[in-house]
Amino acid sequence: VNSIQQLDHWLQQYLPDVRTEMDPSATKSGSWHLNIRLGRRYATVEWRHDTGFGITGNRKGVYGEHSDESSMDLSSAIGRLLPILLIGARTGRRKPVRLAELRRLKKLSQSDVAGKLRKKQSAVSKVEARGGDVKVSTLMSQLRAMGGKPSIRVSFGDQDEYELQLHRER
Amino acid sequence: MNSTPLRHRVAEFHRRLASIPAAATAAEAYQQLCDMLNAVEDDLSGLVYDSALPRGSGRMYPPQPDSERPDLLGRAAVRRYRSQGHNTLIGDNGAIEIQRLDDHVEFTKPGCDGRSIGEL
Repeated sequence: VNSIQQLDHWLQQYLPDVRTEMDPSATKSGSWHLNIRLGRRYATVEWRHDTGFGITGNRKGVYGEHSDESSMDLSSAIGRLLPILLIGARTGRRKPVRLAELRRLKKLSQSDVAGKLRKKQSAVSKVEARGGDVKVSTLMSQLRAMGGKPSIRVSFGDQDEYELQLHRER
Repeated sequence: MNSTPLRHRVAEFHRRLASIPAAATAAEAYQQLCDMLNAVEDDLSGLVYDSALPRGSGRMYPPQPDSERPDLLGRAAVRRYRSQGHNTLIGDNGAIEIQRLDDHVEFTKPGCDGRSIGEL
């Protein structure tokens, strides 16, 4: 029994209403696929012996696209699939968004954000206008004032991603 | 280099694949499909072909040879290649059909004898 077969067994055991369809590889090195549906939510999981799991959730992919996200081991694949199947989380790249656009998406005015920061509205406006040329601490404060939990992630490839710690732990 | 939106690249891939003469064999049809998709992505995606076939890169890749599935309801004249959200069906007569997992046909092209996948 390989890892994707274990995943299938796990899903059927713990999510009784789940429907799965295994599409096995004909060769040892090839990719297996598991189509999963739980009510209106769905995911496709690809698994290869050498690269682990690839997951796409609640999104019909375009022809030739590979899976949106990777998980090397079974437990992290399960951890990613549960929000996809239970609350409808989606995988895939999110469009980059400008600071002002993000504020408007959160239905906040510059004055709202400025009030939380105890700054003038013009200070918030300046940060938004400066775009990328802004101090990290200022940007973080402004995002927190909008109710966000900012973090900086850096990716060095498909499965090599880190969250940057910007200050020493006390 | 700016990339053309993915759905426009798919449309261009369909256009180019439909515009060339039908292949005479399954191997030739598979090669046509791979060459055409790679050419479209080289021209329009702004992303370099990566032989590691990375996930989530945003570039379209043709179905890999080891994604071929042997069984297709006893239809010996049709080969099926599985990818993330699609099945690519290739007939011994060079016919090509691309289906979504819900069986919706996104692209179809008859083979050299004029017969399409559904007729094999």
